Amino acid sequence: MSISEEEVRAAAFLARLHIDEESVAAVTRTLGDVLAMVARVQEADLPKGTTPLTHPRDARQRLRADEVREEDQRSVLQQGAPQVREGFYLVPRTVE
Amino acid sequence: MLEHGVQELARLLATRQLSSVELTEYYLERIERLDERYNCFISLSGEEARAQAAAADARRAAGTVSPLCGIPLAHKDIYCTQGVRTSCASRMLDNFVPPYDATVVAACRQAGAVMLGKTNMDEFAMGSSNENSSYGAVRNPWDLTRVPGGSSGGSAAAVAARLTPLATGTDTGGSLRQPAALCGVTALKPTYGRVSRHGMIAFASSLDQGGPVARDAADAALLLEAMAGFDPRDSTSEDRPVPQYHAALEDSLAGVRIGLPQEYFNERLAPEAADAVHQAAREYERLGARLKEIQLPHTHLAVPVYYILAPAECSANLARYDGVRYGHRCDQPAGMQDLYMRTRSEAFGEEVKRRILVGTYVLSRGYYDAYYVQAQKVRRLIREDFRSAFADVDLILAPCAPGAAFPLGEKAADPISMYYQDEHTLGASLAGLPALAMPGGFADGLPLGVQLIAPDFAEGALLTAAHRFQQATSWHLQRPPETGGEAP
Repeated sequence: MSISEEEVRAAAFLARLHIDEESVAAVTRTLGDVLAMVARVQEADLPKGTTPLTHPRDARQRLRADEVREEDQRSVLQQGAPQVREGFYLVPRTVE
Repeated sequence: MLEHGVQELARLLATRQLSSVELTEYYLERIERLDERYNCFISLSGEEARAQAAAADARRAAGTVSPLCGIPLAHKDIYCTQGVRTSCASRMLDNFVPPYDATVVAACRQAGAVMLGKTNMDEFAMGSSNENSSYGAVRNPWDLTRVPGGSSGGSAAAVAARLTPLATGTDTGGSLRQPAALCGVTALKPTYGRVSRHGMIAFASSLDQGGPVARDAADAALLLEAMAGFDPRDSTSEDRPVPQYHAALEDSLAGVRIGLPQEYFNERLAPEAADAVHQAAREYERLGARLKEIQLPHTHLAVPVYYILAPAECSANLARYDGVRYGHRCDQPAGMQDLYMRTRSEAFGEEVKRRILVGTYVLSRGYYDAYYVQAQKVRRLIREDFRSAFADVDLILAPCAPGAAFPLGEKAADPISMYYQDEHTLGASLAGLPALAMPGGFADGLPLGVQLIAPDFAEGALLTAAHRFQQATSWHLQRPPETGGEAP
């Protein structure tokens, strides 16, 4: 399966990555090579009923009681933030 | 000093022939003088190290201490270290100072180990050569024109160059084992769930595991004992006791069944790398083990499966880097989309972006079943291969890398050739099994590694088998010429 430049631009947008127009062709070629290589998974002869493996030992998610265990550490956690004010992270306007 | 293993250093410390402060100064001075040629370290923590060393000496004076107390080590710059920059070798985290320690870091601190600094790596653990670092490539101590391997290249090279006795690393597809093979040191990727991932910056969450890098199995055992253990903060952490690995190192190998997987000896494997494995097999026979050929029939699909699943998981894990709460933020963003696009495009390197794009594509509508779900199903077949094999053998002996260290820049234009560097390590990663790399020979003065793979939670068997091999051989005792060793 090969990938088109349009699909590369679409994936880049989903991933919020910018690709310069002059690089799109080269990126498309490289991604095409990688996808052609990984598409070999489709050659596998899967026995009927094979289920996806999401954890090496098919472990289940461990649950705990719904009780508060963490302290408020906002001021510590925000020490390295790009921009904060009164405990809020500052970002560009989100509602146009 | 450079000849001493950790147990010997611990004995010198215990008998007051040496203090931790002296030992720490010794290594800090070596790093200061020599690291310019290797580029193993991204950050040094000299002041903290001196304080930790003094505290270790005081603890020792006051009573019994653990074997790692006062022993210097370095942490791969993927582990969050409170108050010390943690960059993941990325511009994205160049300004990131974690407010907490990773569980592995806290455990080593608790054991009294002294942190010298943070080692260089491939950005976000993506790479097999340590050329994908925004702080520059690491150079192999055995030949400065060659790569150390990756992504834990800084840790492996630092141990090889004797800039630290011990280091931590991580392994998602081979990132501990392959650089260990290329640098002539010993490293172990534990069973998935053996070592906590809390505070270990995530690349591929179903594959990432932290482990030790050391000069030999005995030292690796001591560090693994400190690193391993249940952590309620890691939802995939396994709740089972940590054995005293160092206590079982001398166990006999008589009757141990070792399998050699036919499929790993393919046309891409350099003859000298194959010879190192066969030579190791003969050594194991002399030690009483029984060798036999085994099959791992889906080996040829390991690279395709991994390069679907790991990029898919990384595309999700790296979505958090958005310039909002920490890390890089682009200048004067014009709006939210601009904030995300420019922050991420400016601060991620090429290989990281490539894998995010692959991951995004294989998870997208229309392709999810054909790629991602299919890869997960084939992953089950790969794990089944190992389960079947371990019905007949106790350990697997295999190549670790296709050959010795390659020149810097050789694979820069060919990502797929780089991906195939991992083809011998990916199987154990996908199956979640513990695996160890150790020196097994040399070719033209460059180290060749061999790999051992074991069933779930059999790290002890790996370490014992490696230790017995290292008692009978001397590959692991060789040092790069620049550290005063002679070219073998």
